[in-house]
Amino acid sequence: MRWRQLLLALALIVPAVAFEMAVLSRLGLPGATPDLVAVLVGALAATCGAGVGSIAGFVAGMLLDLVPPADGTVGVWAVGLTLVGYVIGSRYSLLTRSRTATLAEVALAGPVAALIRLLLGGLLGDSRVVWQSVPTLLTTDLFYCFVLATLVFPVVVVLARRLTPAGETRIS
Amino acid sequence: MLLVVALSVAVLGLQGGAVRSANHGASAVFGPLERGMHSVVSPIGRFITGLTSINSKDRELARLRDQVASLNQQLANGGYQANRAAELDNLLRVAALGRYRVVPAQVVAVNIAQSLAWTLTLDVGTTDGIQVDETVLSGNGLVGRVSAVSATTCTVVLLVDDTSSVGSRLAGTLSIGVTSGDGLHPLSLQMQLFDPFADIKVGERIVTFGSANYRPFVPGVPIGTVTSVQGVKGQSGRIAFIKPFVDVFSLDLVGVVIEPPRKDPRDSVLPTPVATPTVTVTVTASPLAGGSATISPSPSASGG
Repeated sequence: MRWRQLLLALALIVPAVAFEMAVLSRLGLPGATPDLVAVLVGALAATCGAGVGSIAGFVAGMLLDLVPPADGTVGVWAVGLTLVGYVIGSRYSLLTRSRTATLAEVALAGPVAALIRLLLGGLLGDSRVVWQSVPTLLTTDLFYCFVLATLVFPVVVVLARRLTPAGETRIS
Repeated sequence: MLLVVALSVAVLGLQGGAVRSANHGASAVFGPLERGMHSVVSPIGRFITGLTSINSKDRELARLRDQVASLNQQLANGGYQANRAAELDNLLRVAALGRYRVVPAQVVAVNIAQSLAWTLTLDVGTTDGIQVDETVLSGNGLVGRVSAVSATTCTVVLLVDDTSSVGSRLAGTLSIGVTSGDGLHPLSLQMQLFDPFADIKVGERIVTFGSANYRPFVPGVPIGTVTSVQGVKGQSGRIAFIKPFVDVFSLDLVGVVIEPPRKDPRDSVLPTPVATPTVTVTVTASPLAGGSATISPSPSASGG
């Protein structure tokens, strides 16, 4: 296993969850909350591959489901983010993609994970899931995540290259 | 330190009215006296300290620079402190008027919008005496209820959340209903009226009715103002739309009621009405609008 990459992922995710719930959600921005955690999972998956990506997604999702003030079905965020981490991570066996395309995929991590979370919540009978609000939520989420991805993704690439053994980082 | 502040203000909240009036009386007498004393004594003190430190100018300079830095910081914090003091003041006023025993708490985290749950975390828990299903209020009115509690934090479900509903009463009357949010529109609540013949007008205010054993809601906490009424008099299942007193986007300092009042405070917690004339103007407009929108006979609409 790539212990260093996993440690890096944990070291980034834990403060990101706290920052998202204590600061970003209180900004009162219209629509969604800027989903720093999902963008981070996407960036880690794109740089470190499917294994690290899905573990990072699971840990981040469980934290989003469990850390107060989370309230409701536990595990729905974990499912969404694990899937997103796995898919983004596994696309990099190709190694032919441009940096911009990767950035777009990292930005998509937020709304896709949120959509999976909402669908699963709706299936499990969460009365809070009201489909009327979903289009606004997802479009604003995409916008915020794109802005966050342009800031977060380069940082994650640099950190992964510096802190982990050569050859393990997939972004050239 | 927050814990100490919280607990000390909780004790103040118990006897808030008496403490405040005593404090007012004391400050009226001692305030000018103290200020006069200070202006006389402080030049003498400064002269003495100046004499002692005359041979250590360098140290003095460093000390003054530190002082300037810390004073600048205090100046920057001044607005925040004043705001916080005003919020605490409001909270104490509500606690005193309703005879609620309140533990003040700071909002430390808010749930993300994608989770669609209107919940937040406070920095008080079981060590501060908080239990599940206690009422949370702010200086403006009802905030929500405690849904989960740990040693040092607790989770609050806001009134606008889809899972919230609170028994409520029209101020000044005995008409009751259930007020709930839909999770979609944080600035609007809906009150389902039980009595089809209840006289409800735009601008009227509603307060909590009080749950059994005061859990999760204590009686008399202001909820909001009626903005419109759907349906006409006599029709069952009428809905009044309520604009809540509490703005969920600017919640910062709130209070958890850890002990209910001995007597229902009725309407005494509501702020004194200031805009009564404007209320009577809007009264005539709304029932007409409601009457034209529904299939009810128009005489009853114009009569209301």
